[in-house]
Amino acid sequence: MDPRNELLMLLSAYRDGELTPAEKARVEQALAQDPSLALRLSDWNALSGGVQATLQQAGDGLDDAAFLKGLQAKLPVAPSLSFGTRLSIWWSEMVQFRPLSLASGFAAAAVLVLGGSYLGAQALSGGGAVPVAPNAPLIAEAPKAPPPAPQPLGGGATAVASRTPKASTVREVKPHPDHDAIVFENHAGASVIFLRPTRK
Amino acid sequence: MATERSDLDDLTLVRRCKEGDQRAFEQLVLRYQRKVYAVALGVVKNREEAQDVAQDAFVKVHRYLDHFKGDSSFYTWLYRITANLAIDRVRSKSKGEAVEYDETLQQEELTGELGVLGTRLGSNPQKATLRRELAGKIEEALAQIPEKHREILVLRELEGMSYEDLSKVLQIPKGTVMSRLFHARVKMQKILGGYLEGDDPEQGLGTKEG
Repeated sequence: MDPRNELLMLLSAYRDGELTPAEKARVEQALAQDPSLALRLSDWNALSGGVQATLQQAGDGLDDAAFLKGLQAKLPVAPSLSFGTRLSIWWSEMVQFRPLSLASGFAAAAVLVLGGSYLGAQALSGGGAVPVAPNAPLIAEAPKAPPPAPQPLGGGATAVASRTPKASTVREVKPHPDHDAIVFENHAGASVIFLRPTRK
Repeated sequence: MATERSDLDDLTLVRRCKEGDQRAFEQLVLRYQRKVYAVALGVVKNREEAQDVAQDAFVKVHRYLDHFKGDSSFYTWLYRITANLAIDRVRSKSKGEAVEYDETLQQEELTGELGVLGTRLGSNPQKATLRRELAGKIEEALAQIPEKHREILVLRELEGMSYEDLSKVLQIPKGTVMSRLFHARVKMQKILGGYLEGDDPEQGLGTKEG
């Protein structure tokens, strides 16, 4: 190959950063001695920018919606996701995008469960730790018949107290043959009736 | 949630695609469809065909997503698939047509006016109109040079594909990559230089140097 052409080819590769150190040194020496090489390099740089700009501009002319529609027609129909997969995707998105919501949700659930357990324990112990207003009027009372089916005490307490985590006042405890009716007043002033099966 | 999904990185979206999340795949398409289309258009020249090639590239990506291990970036993988499909399209069209590529350079191509292109395409805002005109001329010039020169020039200039990658995608030796790119540039320079030489350098468009 003609030495001049060979040098120009190296100049092209030099522009692309594809030369060995020795070749690079040779081109840089030639560039320092021959101004026409620098002008050619400048032209190639401009050409590169021009080609990029031209094609990117052409790409911007694409109709995104039409493209996507055409693509969807070519793709196989996707099977519907299983419940487990949906749950997994939901979970990862919650962790990534809504960690605070997730944390507050868990905190609220923990308060409800712990609060419910606490109230249940208070009810079982006869309300000793809960202040009872003497002679307080009874606002509501559970029906006396039929008697409720036996149920786990903790679960029952949670079911009632979960709506009233801050319930703090026991208005009245009315014993019955097979259960006790305990009337709470919650923080909003409404009465809540808790049925506690009588222990044999 | 769509806005948030757009914030996810490529590898996360790919993982979700593998799990069957079609919206994640749609997000990848939205992210890269224009770039992929631009690559295809640069190689095949025709807009409808370019759109077809770009869609086929995404179909292939969808089909072989399980084979993507994340060794390279997702876009590099997508880009290679697009380049291969575009080149296949061009070659299948020209199959049977015996095209002689002239790899020799005429002396006038090597001694044409130099530096003008760089000066005219510079960053001066006053030259915006000229640059727009030149963008049209560049598109025309790309259409005029031989296919093998256009495809290698587009693949190199649009995304800076390395000689090693070009060698693999085009299935030619690295030495040929170097030579072909050089010839492509000289031919483009010649076509665009002829256009520019007709202008009056006194009209604030820059002066010739050297």
